[in-house]
Amino acid sequence: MRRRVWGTPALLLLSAVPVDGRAQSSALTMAGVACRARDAVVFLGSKEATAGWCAGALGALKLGPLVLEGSWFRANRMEPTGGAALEREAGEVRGLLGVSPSRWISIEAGFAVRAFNSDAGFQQWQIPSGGVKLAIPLGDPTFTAYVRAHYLPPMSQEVSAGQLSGDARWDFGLITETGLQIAPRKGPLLLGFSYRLERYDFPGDPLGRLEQFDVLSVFGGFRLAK
Amino acid sequence: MSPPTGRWMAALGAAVSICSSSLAGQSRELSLRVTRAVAVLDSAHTERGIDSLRALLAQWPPEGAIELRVRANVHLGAASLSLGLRDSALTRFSEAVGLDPFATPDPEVFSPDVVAAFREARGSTPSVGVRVAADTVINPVGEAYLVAVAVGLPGDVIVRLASTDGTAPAPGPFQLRVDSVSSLVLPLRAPDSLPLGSGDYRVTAGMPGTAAKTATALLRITPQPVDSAPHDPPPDLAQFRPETRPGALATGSAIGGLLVGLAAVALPSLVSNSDVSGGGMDLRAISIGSSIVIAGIAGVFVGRRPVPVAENIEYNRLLRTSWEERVRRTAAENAHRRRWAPLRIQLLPE
Repeated sequence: MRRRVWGTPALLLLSAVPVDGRAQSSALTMAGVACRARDAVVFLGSKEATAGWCAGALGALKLGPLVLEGSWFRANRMEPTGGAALEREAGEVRGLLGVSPSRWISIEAGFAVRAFNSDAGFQQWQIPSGGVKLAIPLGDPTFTAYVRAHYLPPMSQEVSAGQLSGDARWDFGLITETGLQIAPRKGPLLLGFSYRLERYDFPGDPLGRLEQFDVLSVFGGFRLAK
Repeated sequence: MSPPTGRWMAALGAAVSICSSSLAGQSRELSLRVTRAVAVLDSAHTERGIDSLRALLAQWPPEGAIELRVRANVHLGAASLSLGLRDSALTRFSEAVGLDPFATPDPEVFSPDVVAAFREARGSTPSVGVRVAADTVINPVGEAYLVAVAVGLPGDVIVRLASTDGTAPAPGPFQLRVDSVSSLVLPLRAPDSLPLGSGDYRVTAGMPGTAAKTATALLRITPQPVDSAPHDPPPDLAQFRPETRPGALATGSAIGGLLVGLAAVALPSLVSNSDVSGGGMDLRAISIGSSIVIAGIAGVFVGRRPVPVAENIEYNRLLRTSWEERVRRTAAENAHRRRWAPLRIQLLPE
């Protein structure tokens, strides 16, 4: 029930944003992604960490001030890098809706579904988020650096019994992402890289569970703008 | 089985050749017979000459030359008048006028009585004719085309000029009062004052309300080639001045890159939990941050915007527009020359 309620104020916030005419352009972006994902958990004093290569795709459609983004990746093998972690598979689908009141800033609301599968079982995370993206052209529209910060409202995660995560609901969550897009003026080529870090703090007495997930991505594709 | 085209064409050519040589021979024969008859008249054998001419005119072939027929009628009328056969003479003169309203007995050859009788016959014969130069060139700007009009019975003549296919506009009609022979200055311009276009035209002269047959002349109008002026070459590239100068360095790019680069390093450190990440430097964040700083420094130079130089832009604009104006003027002059090119007017056989 809770996950339905949280989006309403975000949508109200988006609809109230004043829109700058300079942001009224259209663009379609499609790119392939190569990435390195890491997942680390500290629970009851022990730490488990896994890491693996992943591949995926991203797409974005900008219609005037509205931006719709989507991404997907899959890591076939995330190997243990610390503790008693089990090798696992991971995959993620992420959607994001933003409004750009100016060319510099977007106010965004997103939702992601991430899943892990290992010998211990299957767990699926449903991650709503809301935040801001600042995009800063570096002297020329060819280079655009961006910073993204999203707050993750508390959300219960139902996972298989016996897994380290257990049944949980974080009480604090944040995402930060920084990156650079390179889109030469001539031609539709698009290149870039980004780094995203997610933090989840689960309450517990006396020790809670702390989990972090980060992805370093390199992407290449095309961007058609009008 | 295909028709033997070659043989048919050869046969057709031979037939045309025979026909034209036959017509030429017939014309020579008629001319000889008229000359002989006139010679008989001149040798004081008037009755014999009259009989010869009557017989000749009675069997005159339809394609026989009009001039010879007119000549035969005039001589026959003069001979009849000399024998006191005035009505017969007037009939012959009237037939001559009907055939060619320009016809008139030479006062140095014929007696004043003949000339007077011919004039009398002419005045009562409804007939009209036109004559134009066989081949001439006129300038449509200051010159006009002269058309001679002759009538038998004096009256109003309507002269028209129209293209044979009826599509091209033409001037007129023109009305003039003609007692015997008159000339009409025909402007070779359409109602919109432009010269007539090339093509075939027909001049017609008629006397409405009379029995006179409409006279026609078929013309071919062809504009003559004219010399056109050459266009000015475009200005040499060396004449143009640079329209921009290098702008200031985009220092804001370095600042932006530095800020975002620092954020890329700092944010993961601030957000991450040291218990999970181990508290050390995040090499991933550092590599991303330093890349963004480098891109910001590159943007300082890449983002250097050229500054327009208004004075040079205006100078180049004037250079271009003055050349374009000269080209436009030359094009207009050439169009005018082509439009007002001299016209060649040829008389075509009907």
